[in-house]
Order: sequence, then structure tokens, then C-alpha cells
Amino acid sequence: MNSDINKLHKQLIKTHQKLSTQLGKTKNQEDAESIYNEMMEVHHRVGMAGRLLFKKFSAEIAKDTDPVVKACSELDESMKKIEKISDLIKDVAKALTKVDDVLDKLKLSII
Amino acid sequence: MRTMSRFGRRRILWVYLFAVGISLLSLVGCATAPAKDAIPPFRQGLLTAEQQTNATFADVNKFLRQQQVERAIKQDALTEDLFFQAIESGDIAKWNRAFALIDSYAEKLERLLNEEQRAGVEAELSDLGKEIESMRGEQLPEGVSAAFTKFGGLLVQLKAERDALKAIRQADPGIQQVFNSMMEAIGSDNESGVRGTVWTSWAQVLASIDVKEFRQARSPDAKRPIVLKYIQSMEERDAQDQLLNSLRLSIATLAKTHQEMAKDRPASASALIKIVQDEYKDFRQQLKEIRKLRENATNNGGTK
Repeated sequence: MNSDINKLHKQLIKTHQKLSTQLGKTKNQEDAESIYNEMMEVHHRVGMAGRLLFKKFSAEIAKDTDPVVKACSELDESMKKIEKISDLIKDVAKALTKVDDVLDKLKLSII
Repeated sequence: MRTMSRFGRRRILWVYLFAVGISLLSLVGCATAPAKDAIPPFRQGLLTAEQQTNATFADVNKFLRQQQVERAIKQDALTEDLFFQAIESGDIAKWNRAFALIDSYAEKLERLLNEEQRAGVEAELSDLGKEIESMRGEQLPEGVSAAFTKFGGLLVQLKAERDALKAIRQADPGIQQVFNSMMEAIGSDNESGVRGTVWTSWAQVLASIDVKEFRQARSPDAKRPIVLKYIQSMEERDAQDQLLNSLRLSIATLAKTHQEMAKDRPASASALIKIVQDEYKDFRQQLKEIRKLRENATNNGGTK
């Protein structure tokens, strides 16, 4: 995903990394405190951007499940068809009994 | 007359058998066998991934909230906007719904491919065979009824397998996108997604130990526990990142398993999913131990 929020999130992470590197090179305590405080602010914004990014991905996830919903209804249909086959066979068995009776009656009438 | 009657009845019998056979065949077409054996481990993997998701994100939220406290204590006033859930419960619910939906789909596949479907139709066909054989004065040639029952059962099985494969192929693009979005949200490295956010927070923790503790300490003896704390924090950071990566790997394994099923090349996913599950357990244990060590150090008058 190359969204603006993704780019911003990555950019803020890079800024935080640069400040961290700068902190490692700083000997002066006062300068170190300033960089640390700046890092804290950037870090806060990384969290906020990360939260929005996660929200965006989660919304995508909810949308992408549509084909799964369709596949579910296809599977339900398939199971119904198989049940219908069982019903069809039952009906054939019933019909056969009736046909047998009719044939018997016809035979009697011919004789 | 008697012979003609028998001949007519036999013809009708075969017409019925033929009609049932044709109706079964029309359902089947050309069938291939989908990944029946891959479905139970796939469902087990889904369950594990969902549990991993909830535990890992709860852990991430707890950790990031602690970092918000560190910033809040530096403010002039305490306001609600200083605190936010890094991963909102409503968003986690969307993940859980997706896992539940995919599991429901997999459960339907499992049910469709269940041999009971075949057994049910075979039982009906067997009853039909008995009905035919019980017709007065007519017996089907030996073995025909049993063969017909087996044939019908096989056709139903093939029909179920073809439909299952069709459904798997229909669902696959969506499932791949869902899993890809999840993997991207977690992050492919420690500079992106949730992994990027968490790694940055750990960099903040390490900076705090450096600026607030190490640089304030005046002797090597005072610095030693701070250095140990710094190392423990690095280990904790790595373990937490590995937890997130394990979750990502679990989801990648699920995606791959489903993709193979759609290609009608069911791979044995169970072994791979087990490796990921074991890895997740190991990192969780590791993280627990590191945190216990830190807590002990704090309680014994340590550095934090």
C-alpha cells in the first residue's frame, strides 16, 4: 500500500532513527535532553500515524472478504443440490412401487 | 402375455436406473479432487493466528501505552488526547471477523467434502435397489444394485469435490488480499507497519535509559546495572519484534496453504503451521522471562 499515510509513517520512523543516531554522537547533556525530547514528539506522531495506517489496512480487510462470502453461498447451494439428489432417489423408489402396482393391474385387465 | 409383461417391466426398470444415473452424471462433469486433508490444519492455523493476533496486539497496546505515559509526565496539563489506543479494538474486531468468516467458509468446505454426504446418498440408493429387487417376480442381476449404489456415491463425491474446488478458486483472490493486508499491517520489517511503530518505541526506551539514567550516573558501579537494563531492553525489543514476525509468518503460511489448495496442489501445511506455532510459543516464553527479570530488577531497587 503506497498511501500517503504509509509514506508519512515511514518518513517519521526515518526521522526518529536520524535523531537517535544524532543522540549517540552527542556528548553535551543539554543537547542530549533536547534531542531526546524531540524524539519523544516524533515518536508520538509515529504512533498516531501507525494507528491510522492500521485502521486503513483493517478497513481493506473488511472489504476484501466479499469473494469469501460469495464462496460460502456457493457451498451452501452445492450442499442443497446434494440433498436434492437424495430426495430424487427417494421419489424414484416411491414411483417404482406405484409403477409396479399399475403394471400388475394392467396385467390383470389384459388377462 | 406373461413374457411381454415381464419384458415391459424390465425395460421400465432400466429406464429409471438410466434416468437416475444421467441426473447424477449431469451434476458431475469433469471432476478433480481438492485439498480435503489440508482443510483441518488450515482451520487449526486460522484459530492459532487469531489467538496470536489478539495476544500480540494486546501486548503491543500495553507497551505503547507505557510510552505515552512517559510523554504525558512532561506536559503542563493532562488531557485525553495525550493517550490513544495504538491498535483500536474496533480494528482488531475487523481482523477477528475476517478470521471467523474464513473459518466458516473452511467449515462449509469440510462439511461438503465429508464422506457423510456420500454415505447419505449411498443409503438412499441402497434403499432404491432393495425396492427394485423386492418388485414381485423381478430380481436385478446379482451385484447390480450394489454396484449402482457405489457408482452413485462416487458421483456425488466427485460432484462435491468439483464444487469445493470451484469455491476455493472463487474465494482465493479475496483470501490472498485479506492475508496480504494483514501482513502489510504487521510490517515486513522493523521500519514498517506495527513492527515499525513498536521498534521506534523501543528506540525511545533505549534513548530514555541513555539520557535519563546512564548519562546521569557518575561511577562505573552505578553505570553497570543501567548497562544491563539497556541490554535486557534490547532483548525484549527483539523478542517483541519476533512475536510480530511470527504472527506475520503464520498468516503467510495460511495464505500459501490456501493458494496451493486453489491450484489443486494441496501441500502438507500442518507441519509448517506447527513450526510457526512452536516458534510463537518460544518467543512468548522468552518475552515473559525477560519481563520477569526486569520486574525483579525494579523491585530489588534496580534502575527503573
